[in-house]
Amino acid sequence: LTSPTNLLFTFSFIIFTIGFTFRHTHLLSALLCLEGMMLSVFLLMATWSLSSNISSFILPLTVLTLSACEAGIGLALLIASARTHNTANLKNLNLLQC
Amino acid sequence: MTQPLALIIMLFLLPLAILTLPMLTPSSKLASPLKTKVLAAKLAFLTSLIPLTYLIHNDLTITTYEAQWSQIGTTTIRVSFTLDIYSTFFLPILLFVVWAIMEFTVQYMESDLKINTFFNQLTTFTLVMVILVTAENLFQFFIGWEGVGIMSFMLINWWSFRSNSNKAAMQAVIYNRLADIGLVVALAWMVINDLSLDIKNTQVTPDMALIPALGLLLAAAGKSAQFGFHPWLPAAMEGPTPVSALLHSSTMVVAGVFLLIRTSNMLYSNETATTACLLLGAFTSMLAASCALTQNDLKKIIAYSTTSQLGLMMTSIGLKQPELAFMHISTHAFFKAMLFLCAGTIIHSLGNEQDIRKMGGLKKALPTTTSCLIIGSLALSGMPFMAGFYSKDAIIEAINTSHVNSLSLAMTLVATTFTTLYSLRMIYYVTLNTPRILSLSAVSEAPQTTSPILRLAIGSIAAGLMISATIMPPNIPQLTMPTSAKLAALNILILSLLVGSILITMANQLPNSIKGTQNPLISKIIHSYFILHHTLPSMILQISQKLSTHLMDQTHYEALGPKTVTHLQTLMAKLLTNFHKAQINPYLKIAILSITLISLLYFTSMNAEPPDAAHEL
Repeated sequence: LTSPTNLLFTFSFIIFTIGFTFRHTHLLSALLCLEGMMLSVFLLMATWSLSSNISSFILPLTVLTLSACEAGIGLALLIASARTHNTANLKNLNLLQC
Repeated sequence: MTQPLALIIMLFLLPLAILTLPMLTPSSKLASPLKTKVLAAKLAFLTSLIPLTYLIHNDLTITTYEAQWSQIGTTTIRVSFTLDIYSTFFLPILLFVVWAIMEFTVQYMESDLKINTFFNQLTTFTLVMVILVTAENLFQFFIGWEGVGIMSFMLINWWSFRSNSNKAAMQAVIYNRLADIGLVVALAWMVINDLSLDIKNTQVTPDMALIPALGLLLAAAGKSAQFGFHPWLPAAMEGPTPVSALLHSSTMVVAGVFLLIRTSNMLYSNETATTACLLLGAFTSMLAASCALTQNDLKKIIAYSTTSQLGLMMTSIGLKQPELAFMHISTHAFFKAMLFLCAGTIIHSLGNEQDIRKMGGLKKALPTTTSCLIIGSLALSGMPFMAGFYSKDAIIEAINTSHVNSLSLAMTLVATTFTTLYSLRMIYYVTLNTPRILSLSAVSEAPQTTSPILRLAIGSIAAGLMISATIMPPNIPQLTMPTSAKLAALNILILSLLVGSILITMANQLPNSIKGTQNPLISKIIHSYFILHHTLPSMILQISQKLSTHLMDQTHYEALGPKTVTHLQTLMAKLLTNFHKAQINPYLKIAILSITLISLLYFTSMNAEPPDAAHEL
């Protein structure tokens, strides 16, 4: 599990996660990092199934499909919030603050 | 003498029942509740004359009724009513004064909404006073004593929205409570030394009798406003005038003197206490009379006059003449109540004006009131053959012919002089000279207010002769004395009348300087209550506030325990909620931080060499 390819993709996942948490202002950068996380997870699953002789391994394809749907929903939410709040700043999404 | 005992007690209880019955009926059932109560007082007076006639007819025999109430150890507490000379004579006088005052009150306080409550309180007071007067043992006497104290408090504080009334009522209650200490000490002494609590059993050995004698003296001094306890009586003029007339002139303030009359044997077995009584009475008499000379409030003049007469009664007890004291009580009730009712009429007519500097020239406007004021003042000063003469002159004769120290004699004579002088001053300012009243005063003398005053006037003229003709003094009074001693009181009266009238006519010719507008020093000494009333209580209350409330209750119990916890919790909660911005960003940062920390811990805690199974992969 600690082969170089896997290590590469693991680190890319970590970097995308850090980018998702430490992003600056715009919501779109969060969605980009989210896509990157999904991509690196997909690649990890694909290379792992190649090196471990599992015959029919559908999981990567499922994950890819779901990530595409998720990206669509995210973009729709982004546009909806941009239409109501006129910005897509993260600091304005504070309806739950007491 | 063949009358059964039960009949006598019925005769005694009948006036009380008549008096109480309208109070127990709700006032909505009566057609005119006030007139019914006045009528009840009148009937009670008339029926209380029956035990009096029985007593006189049967040559002053004593009737007592006893029933056992409870037994504590070896002391038996009984319910016992006695109808001896003092109670049988005092009862009609009390009810006569109550009748007059109730009839006066109907007109005086007709604009008061709670007048029924007022009448009920007056009736309750009368009942408690009767319990006090007819008590045979000291325990029942104490019940009446406490009762009159409480009723005095409630009646002084009738206008309880007025802070001066609250202060005056507090003074009355506290000074009376201090007096009760004396009575309780005397009771306790009697119980401890296996004496029964009956009043006729107050014969003690001379050695040990100092404690109860001083206790009784303290009780009487507090209740009857002698020197150390005098502030409450002028302050009690904050109550309505009927209250002043009933309680603080005739009946309640004589309760202390009555106690000493009843237990006089216990007092006389101790020379120290008797002399103390004499000196206290004389001192009070002189000081109060000199204070009354400088007062500007009409009711306060009469209040200080009452204090002075109470001092005179105390003096006569100190002379070992309790019967004279009782006679002075009886005659004093009439004219003092009448003086208060006249003052009430004057105050009511001038629109609640009590300052004599703003009265004047009422001789033609209120003729009946003026005449009764003059009759009352003459009776008070001891004009021959009016009511006050029989008691006051007898006391002054007794003090002139007894082995007493001359200081008390001098003080009593000075007090008698001042009595005439302040009465004259009061009459001059109120009724004579030019009017200084407001122009539109509704000056009126309704017949409902003048008829009780006239009845009391008849009483204050005739009562002296009637009472002294029926009571024979047990001690034979000194019958031979030098002429100057015999005529001493009369000389003082005439001299002070002359001097007073000269002073009045010369008063207009005095220069107008600032010195004349201040009270003399002795009046300032009497009124120096500031330390006692203000400084000491505020010190005590501050100590209690700092020590017990602030330190114990609020600090040790509250602030160091629950309140600190709640305060810190709310502080932390307020600080922390500022960090709760509802953004995903900080939450994610914390989550990622925790994950990295845990994974770091996990990965660094693994061994240096991986296991063989992972090595094969």
